[in-house]
Amino acid sequence: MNAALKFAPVADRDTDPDLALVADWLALQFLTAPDAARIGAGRSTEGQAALRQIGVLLDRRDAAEALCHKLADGSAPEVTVALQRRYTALFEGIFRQRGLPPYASVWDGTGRLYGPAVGRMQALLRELDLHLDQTCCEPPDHIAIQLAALAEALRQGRTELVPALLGELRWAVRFAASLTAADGNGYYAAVAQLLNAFVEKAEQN
Amino acid sequence: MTNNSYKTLDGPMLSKRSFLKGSAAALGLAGLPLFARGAAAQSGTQGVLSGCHWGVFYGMVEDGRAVEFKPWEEDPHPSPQLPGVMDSLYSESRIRYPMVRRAWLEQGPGADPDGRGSGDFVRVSWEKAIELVANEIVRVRETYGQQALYAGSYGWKSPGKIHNCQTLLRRMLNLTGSYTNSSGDYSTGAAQVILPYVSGSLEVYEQCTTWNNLAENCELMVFWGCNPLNNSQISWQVADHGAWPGIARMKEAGTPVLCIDPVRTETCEALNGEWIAPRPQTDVAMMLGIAHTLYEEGLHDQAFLDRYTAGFDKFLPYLLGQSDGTPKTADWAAEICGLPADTLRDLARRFASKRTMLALGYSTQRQHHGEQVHWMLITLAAMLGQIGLPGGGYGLSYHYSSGGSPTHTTPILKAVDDASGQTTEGAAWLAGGGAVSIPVSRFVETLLNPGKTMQFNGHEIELPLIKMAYWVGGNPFSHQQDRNEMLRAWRELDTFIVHDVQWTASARHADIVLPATTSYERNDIEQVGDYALSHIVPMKKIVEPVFEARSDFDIFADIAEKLGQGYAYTQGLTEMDWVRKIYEAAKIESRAKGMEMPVFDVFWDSNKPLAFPVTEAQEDFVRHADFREDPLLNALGTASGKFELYSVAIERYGYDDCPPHATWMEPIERLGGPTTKYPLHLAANHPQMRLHSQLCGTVNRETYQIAEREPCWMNPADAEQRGLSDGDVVRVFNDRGQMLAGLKITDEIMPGVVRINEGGWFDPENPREIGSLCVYGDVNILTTGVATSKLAQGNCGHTGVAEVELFEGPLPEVTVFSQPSA
Repeated sequence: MNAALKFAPVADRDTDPDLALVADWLALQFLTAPDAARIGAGRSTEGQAALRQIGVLLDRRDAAEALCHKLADGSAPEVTVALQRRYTALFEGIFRQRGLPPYASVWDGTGRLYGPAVGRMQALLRELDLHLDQTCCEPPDHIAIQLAALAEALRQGRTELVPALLGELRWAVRFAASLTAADGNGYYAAVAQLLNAFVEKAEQN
Repeated sequence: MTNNSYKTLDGPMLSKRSFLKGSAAALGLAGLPLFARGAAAQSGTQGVLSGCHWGVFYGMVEDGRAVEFKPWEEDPHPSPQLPGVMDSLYSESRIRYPMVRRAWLEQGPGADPDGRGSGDFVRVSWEKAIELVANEIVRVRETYGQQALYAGSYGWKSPGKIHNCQTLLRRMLNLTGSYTNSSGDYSTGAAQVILPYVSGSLEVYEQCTTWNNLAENCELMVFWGCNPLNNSQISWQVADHGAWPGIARMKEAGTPVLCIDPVRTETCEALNGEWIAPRPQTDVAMMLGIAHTLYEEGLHDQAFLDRYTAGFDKFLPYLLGQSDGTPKTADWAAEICGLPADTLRDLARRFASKRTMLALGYSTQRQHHGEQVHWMLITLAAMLGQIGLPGGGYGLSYHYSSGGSPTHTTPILKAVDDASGQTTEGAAWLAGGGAVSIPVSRFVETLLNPGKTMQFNGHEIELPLIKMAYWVGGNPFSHQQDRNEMLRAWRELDTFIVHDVQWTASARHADIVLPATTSYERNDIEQVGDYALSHIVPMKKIVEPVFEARSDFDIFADIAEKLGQGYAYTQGLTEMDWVRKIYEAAKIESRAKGMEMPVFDVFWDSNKPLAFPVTEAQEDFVRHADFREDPLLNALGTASGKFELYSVAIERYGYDDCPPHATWMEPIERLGGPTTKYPLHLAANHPQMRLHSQLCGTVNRETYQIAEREPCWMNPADAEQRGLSDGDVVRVFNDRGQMLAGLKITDEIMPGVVRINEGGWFDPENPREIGSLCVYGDVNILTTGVATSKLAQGNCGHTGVAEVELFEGPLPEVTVFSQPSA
């Protein structure tokens, strides 16, 4: 099957339905720069409520509130452009010390892209009976793919794979800390706080 | 929680009830386009054969990921740089997506030129990028004319007969219009222009007497600024590394070796050679002093000069001082080159009494008036009279790429052409073409002086107005001299487009950056050894392209398509169609040479290089032996058919900086020079662990960097004089610029000279400020941008003096290679 997977209800096993959704939401933040539709959704009443709910879920109400504020701070086109610029500078750019490549291999001591984390994630995707869609050009140690794989494991009720997937996300704590430092009080600093909280919470369980 | 089980978040507030149920749309989660159902097939570890500038190797692949590049088992001396080659594939500084500089995208071409290099890029889709490039080509051509588009794009592109990105760029542009081209190169810019006047051919890219023959016959091997055991790590095609077994044979034969160089080289070390260190840039004076001794003591070979050369009679008055009042005696030369006159006299006697090979390196002509060096060496060799004899004479291509490794009998692989209709056999980058062609190192001068008339090799060029530069397979922000002058010139460009694999300084200073594949992400075919031509190697794709990288072939195909010439560009052939076509043409040619190559599929699937034979005669080749044997039948390509020690053609040009015979001319600056301001000469040598700037952004850097900077070698005496210690971060500066470096104190370099290898990545502390401190160590901030002379207009990468001092104050972080530390 080549079509991209759509979000499906979480299997009614020993998993939390919201956790998977939060993982997907976080994955989306890191996968691409936001488009107008996503910004529009985040600015809507329902979107803002959902973000606040994530803040409650992860016990980071301030961070969620900051996101809501950033999304509403200006016209939709202005916010969209501002966040697109910030995304590029943080995750796609290269110059000087502003960028934070969202790949485990950069942060786990490998010293280059496409390190062993890529191989381990490929193995985990196989376990989930998944492969990367042909439209995706990112290696599977991209944080968005790791988070989305975790969400998929939760949806499939594959609890035995969750520890390994969380293990692959160990680097995310340092990544989040650097992101917080790099983005100051920006949108992605708030996302970083939620990422950190998500990983902490998941590991505690 | 245990390590092998997982519990859901069953806190009192959440339980399994979903608070976010129904919120997916509100969160923008319409479906992440990431996964498809079904596990991907897993492949075991396999070795995929390929080749690169550093040699033939196997890319070891596990589950679609390269994990190691292992040298081919028949490589006689695998390059230690190979780990960096793999690292370049997966470098942290890999360009991942098409990017456009924000000011250019939002405000149009030419916007905020000083913002280039400051890193404010916007990611765009490939579709958008192609459209932007195609439209800009059209705009520039329509607004300013065809010549306003510069495609003289130069540099060490990857090997391979299909994916020669520079040819492919010109192919696309020839099919859609024209452009300004470049001629010549940075390696031998002066020598390759003057040598056809002197010996009738390029020489610097032609086979010299083989190592085998030297081992048998040479009695004194002189490496003059020539270091094959460093520079033969690489080849323009795929390296064969034949210099190592060749030099090992010389060592085994016990051939005495003399190394004339400001640095005690790897070659000198390996052969336990005698090291003589004259002041840099004084080679011509030193050679004249030796020549004068030869003549004065009657050690020259007048019979050889009479039979095989022309113009010695016009050179002699200069040598003897009859024409200018200054006899070029050993004593006169000693004052200039800094060696004792007795040493020069001794060299003259030793050269004349032994079968002597004078092996000259390229660096000696990358200096002001560099043309004179090769001319004078040939004059000296002609006076010795050993040219064309086994083990004697001169060799101008031992310097790199294993020149002297015997040439095999092989067909020559044809390459995808540039669609200009011109055939470019041999040195393709030396061919002209385009609406206008300028000497390659004069691009900065051209940008700053449109409309100016430039003298070049006997004719005049009106420098064109350039508004757009398109660069592929090169890094001008490394190889061009005088970086700050270059930055000033770059302001004149509306648009600078770069294809590359890593965020080099050139990519960072571009307006549009397109991510190209490395050789290891595409299929190609190449020959092994620039001189040996020992094998044809399948350059197989090792891994799929990473991120959004595309091959230059495909990028230009899309641009050509946008401009209405898509089919003409591709000829309807795929990458593998081209590989097969090129191989099969060679297969036909091989029959004419009495060989039968296997069918293509057998060759490709064998995963081995295809070997070609070498005869005893080829193993024992002596350069110019045929000319010596019969100078009429095998006349040289000069006007007289002989070695021209005086050129009537050059006399007619009347250049004030290139007289008609080899002449000592003061460079603009040198150690001990009459007007020189700074006390230390800059030896901008070839690096040991990278290829120019290639691989600087890889793991290889860890083997040589000092305090995370490019090393600066200094003699202990110079360090003591300045109160410097090993490992210090120093500021190296002159009137042209300033840079940081890490100090290495060593007696392997002569006093008065510091060595900073060329190719360190330019890392300005403030990219918006011309003259800003380079915090990593790009030596071409300090070297001069002047031309060698009006004849060749070559670069002077080895002309430069500077001062070195301890850097004090907060140390700026090197940021050019990587992302922030974790």
